[in-house]
Amino acid sequence: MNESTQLNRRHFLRGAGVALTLPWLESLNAAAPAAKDAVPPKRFLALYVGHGFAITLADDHPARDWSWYPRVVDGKMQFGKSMAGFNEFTDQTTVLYGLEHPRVIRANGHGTADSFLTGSNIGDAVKYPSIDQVAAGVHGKKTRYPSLVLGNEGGLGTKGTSRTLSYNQFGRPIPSTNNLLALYDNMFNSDPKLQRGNKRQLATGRRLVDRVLESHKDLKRRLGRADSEKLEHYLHSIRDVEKDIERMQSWSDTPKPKVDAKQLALEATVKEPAAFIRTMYNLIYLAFQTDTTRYATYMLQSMGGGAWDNIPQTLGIGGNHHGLAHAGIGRNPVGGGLAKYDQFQGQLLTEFIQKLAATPEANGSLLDNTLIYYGCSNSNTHNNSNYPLLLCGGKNLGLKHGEFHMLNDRKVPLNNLYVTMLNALSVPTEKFSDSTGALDDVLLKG
Amino acid sequence: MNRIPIQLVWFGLSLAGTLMAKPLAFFEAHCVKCHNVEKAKGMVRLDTLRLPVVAENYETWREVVHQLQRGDMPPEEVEQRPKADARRAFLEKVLPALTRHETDARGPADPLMRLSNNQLAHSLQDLLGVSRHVADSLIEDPVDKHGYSLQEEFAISGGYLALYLEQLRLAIADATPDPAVQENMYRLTGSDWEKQHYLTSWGMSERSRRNLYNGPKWLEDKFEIPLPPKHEYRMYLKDNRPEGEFRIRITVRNEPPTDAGKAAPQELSLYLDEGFMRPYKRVGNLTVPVKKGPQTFELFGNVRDWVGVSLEPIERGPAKNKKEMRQRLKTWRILSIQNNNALVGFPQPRAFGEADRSGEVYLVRPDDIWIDAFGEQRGLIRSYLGPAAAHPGGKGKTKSIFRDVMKNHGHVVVEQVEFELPYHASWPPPLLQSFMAGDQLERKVLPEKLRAFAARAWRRPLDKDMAAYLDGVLAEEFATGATELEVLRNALAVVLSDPKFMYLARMGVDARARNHELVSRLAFFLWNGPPDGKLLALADQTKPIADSSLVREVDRLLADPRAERFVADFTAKWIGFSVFDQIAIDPNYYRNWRPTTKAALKDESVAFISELLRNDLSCLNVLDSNFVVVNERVAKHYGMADVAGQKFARQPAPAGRGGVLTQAAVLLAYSNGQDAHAVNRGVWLRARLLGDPPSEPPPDVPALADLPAEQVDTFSIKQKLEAHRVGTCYDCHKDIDPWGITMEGFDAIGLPRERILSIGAKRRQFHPVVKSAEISGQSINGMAALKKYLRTERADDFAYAFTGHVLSHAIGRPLTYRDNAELLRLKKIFQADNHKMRTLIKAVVTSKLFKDTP
Repeated sequence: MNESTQLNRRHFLRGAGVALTLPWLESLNAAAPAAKDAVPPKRFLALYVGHGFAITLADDHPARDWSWYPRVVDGKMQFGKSMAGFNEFTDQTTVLYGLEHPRVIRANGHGTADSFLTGSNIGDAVKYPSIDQVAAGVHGKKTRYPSLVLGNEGGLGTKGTSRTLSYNQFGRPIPSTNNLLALYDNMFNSDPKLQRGNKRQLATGRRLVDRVLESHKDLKRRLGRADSEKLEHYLHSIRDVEKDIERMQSWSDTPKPKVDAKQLALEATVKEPAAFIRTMYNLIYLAFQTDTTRYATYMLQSMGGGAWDNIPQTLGIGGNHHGLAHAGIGRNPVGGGLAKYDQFQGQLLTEFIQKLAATPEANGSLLDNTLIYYGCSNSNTHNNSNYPLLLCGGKNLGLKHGEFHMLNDRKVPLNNLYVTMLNALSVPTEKFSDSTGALDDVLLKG
Repeated sequence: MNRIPIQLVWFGLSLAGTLMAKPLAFFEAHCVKCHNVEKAKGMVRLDTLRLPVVAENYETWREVVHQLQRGDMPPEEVEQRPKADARRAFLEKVLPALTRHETDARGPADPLMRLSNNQLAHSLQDLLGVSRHVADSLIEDPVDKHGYSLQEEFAISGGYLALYLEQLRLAIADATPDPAVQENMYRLTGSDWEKQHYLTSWGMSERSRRNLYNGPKWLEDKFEIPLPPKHEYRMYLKDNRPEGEFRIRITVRNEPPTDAGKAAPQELSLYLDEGFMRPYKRVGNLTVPVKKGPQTFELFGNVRDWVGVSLEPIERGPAKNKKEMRQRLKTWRILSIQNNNALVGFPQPRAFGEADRSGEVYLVRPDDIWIDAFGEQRGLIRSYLGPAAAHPGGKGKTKSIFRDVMKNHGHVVVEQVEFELPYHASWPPPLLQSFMAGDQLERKVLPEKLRAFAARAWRRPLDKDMAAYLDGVLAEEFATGATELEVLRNALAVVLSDPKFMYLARMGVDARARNHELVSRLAFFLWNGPPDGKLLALADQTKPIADSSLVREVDRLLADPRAERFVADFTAKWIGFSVFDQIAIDPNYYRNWRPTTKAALKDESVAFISELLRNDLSCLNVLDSNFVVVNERVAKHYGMADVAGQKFARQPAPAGRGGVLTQAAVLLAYSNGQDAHAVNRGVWLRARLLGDPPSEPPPDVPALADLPAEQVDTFSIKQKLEAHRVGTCYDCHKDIDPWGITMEGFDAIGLPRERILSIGAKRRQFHPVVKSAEISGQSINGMAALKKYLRTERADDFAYAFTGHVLSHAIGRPLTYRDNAELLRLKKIFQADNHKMRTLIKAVVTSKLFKDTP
């Protein structure tokens, strides 16, 4: 097997780190680096934790201070202990109650991770792409990688208990990567050896295009006077492929951004969950900052069990996440296991957000140009309704923050939120999956 | 009703006399009262419409002609309705003008037509010798809402081409492994079977497990898995590489019941899961005939289509504990063998799990056999899925029933199962072999062999220029210092992304070139794939191919299994499978619905058309038939007893079924997933069965949901539609809805119903079914009456419609007015030979329209 034409998919999926399901196509999508825009790009990160958070809205609940949901005092959100880090960002945060994907409301309680970003029912024949891939389809060409598909567990997972949040244009899952080292290599490592194989494949593609263009001319000559619009279409599409190869070749000649790898714990494993997740956040941070990509999804916790389900044990909380979720918030005023786990995730997330907020950009901070979407498709004990959802950042995208919205009376599908988010990301969208409208009035500045 | 039969209008046409530039008297008399500058009813103005037909008014003219032909316009309440002969005289004037415009506007036909996704995918299968079908990985081809072919309009874009090139690269890689390096093949063979069971490596060595069960020697070399009806045996494949062709080879004996009785043919299905716990996906079915002794069967596929869930390396040593073992399991695939024969006199297996992983079957587990053989304690072993999955009654204490079943059921005994990945029919694989000299790829012979391959792929003899071009491709590849194998793969990619491959095209003006065009079109029509050597040989003559030869070839092509591709493709378009796929059945309305039934319902429609074609039955059976073509899953859906197996076969129609209208695929596709959709059903029927698709609704029509809320809840569908049929909407809907209303007795999943469930915001309620409507002055009550009416009074329209759909499919474009004369001629031939599809196909391929299509 030679490296130029034989592209072993396993090597690809595991080694490439960045989830490129269609290596050729997606690498084609990579475009030449644009001149430094005066206006920073709009980014999007979706984060998901399976099984559910510790939640209650009852003010007299003994564990109310440990609820994932904030209290609202004098019109201002006050986050409890598990989400305390967000108190620093209340004016840049929105919490939503009362949305869900209606198609999967009756699905198995463990089975809705798959549909979190799509709204598809896993049993249906027609499945939809996920919101990040829709955005990447429009703007992905502008960066070295159209999107990052990340997950602590990596891979596809099983049906219903997906390990990935992203689905391609045909609604097929894109395996997530958890290979920190490969992610780093692909995005930031300029080792010439790494580049060589890639370049060779591009050269082969280039020769193919040249040849086919030649053949196209020949056919045109043979058809003589007869006009063929289709032959012109064909010419255009070959030219498109050619342009993409050129773009990609220029990427492969473009030096990768230099970043400081010292602070990245690239060897971290599930045995050091905090270091692992922190490193993943840092890689996302660097990818956004250097405009290596603009869209990322990160499955923090799937519902498939396995080593990552057991991290509460490693963290000293005890038990596994699934079990903790069944117990729910409990009535312990000093916080139950699930709340403690929420706190663990909340701390890491707010650390990441602090970093974004502290990074200046032309029109504010990196946080102001990044929409972070954090949530779960279960509320209590695997109920597939009233998803606990939080949005943070993205002020420059036109978002209005600072409120806790109770939307349960509206009876609108969650995908209406995605329509608004996509439009905020400059992806003009009227309908997404089963959306029935948008939530502009809730989310956008008047 | 003043309906002029649509086709009548066409007869005796003469060219229009003078074309008028002044306002048309006919419009003045009958139309402008409504369609004028102020009222412009239905957004149409006729006071300004003039002849000749030009691009700007073409659509309006078409609409006018259509409405007049149908007798829809002017509407009944208008006083001055034109007499039938006035209408006919007017049409005789306008129609030729319309036809002429169509001919002029069209200009010379584009000499190219892109292969459809299915045609491209089948071509790669046929030319490269790979089993994978890549059509689903490409950007979907556009579909006409009335089921006609749009192939002529198939475009290509950069995105499309990039996807295609990627799939092409994968297919070439599968077809051309390095002949010098036989990849490490995973081979699971019979006597390995017990090692595959996860329990064997859980917590103890192979030896200690064996000791525990104290198994006799025969377990090691003899493989005996009894598989009675409705039982499944599965094996774990400890290989999860994501690519490569595979072969499953299975050796079984067909055994009579152990007590007494006769052996019966046994139907088996083999499945792989898409990854552990993902749904089973069928590899194939096979029938084990009654025959003494072992019989061997082979099935093929490519694991790319059974994408695994994990790419973690497979751990092969013993696991530390059960938990670790379960984690490890997730990196494996499952191969499952099911016996689909009917199980009689025993409790039927229950479905387990929501994912419908294997259908309803009992598991036969290795431990069953062990325990049965040696009487060891069974408490130690439980199925991974929980005991309920394996045995009715639960908790692992109930005895398995397979041994009892075998007493009075014929069954199979599996002796050997082999799973090979990657699999190559011969080594090196045939495609590679065809490029080799001796036992290796030889630079010297590559040019000649590549030319031969290109001639087949491009479906034409190569001239000097083409040969030189290919030689140049090879020379350039070699110049990069690539190996012979790399050069070959790159050259194959060049040949198969060439426009001469991807397009059906005009090849020249001489007879030989035209012959090659014709055999290509014929092969892509009836095989959805490239012509074979025989067809290309037939084309290679200086005289045009005689019609008698073409007709002979039709019979030969239809006898080939590849003709099933045509039946599937045609049926998909004609029924509208792309619409079908998009309907999601609401589980709140249909609690017992299983999404996996959907695939079987599509297969039913395909099998039905196949049955008509293969047995030369009258296509009037489409309107109503005294048989259905079903398999067990579909029969179960329809509530028919005593049908077992995956295979579709003709069965006497149960009461109320027969024909296409009562096929669930049609009824489901034209529902909304909760309730029947009378309008969609009406539109479907008119386009597909009567050849008379209704016109597009005008823009901004009010939706049905705009009714006042109290009416939405309380109105029956018929009342709702009646409320809808006022004003503008009435004029069209009066001839759409009644068709659909007569089908209201069938719900969204195609089952008969007595009442209609509607789930409101607060409560569930039921409405009575109203299924009587007036059609062409006749009162028709329900589906049976509808079918009878169609078969007795509209058979002629049906013949017209069906001919049109087959013709459109063959020539790759919707039909227009100018095709009508030819269409009527073909229809007559179709009717004269008892509506046989084969006769129609023969008439189509010998028609000028077909021969003139690139």
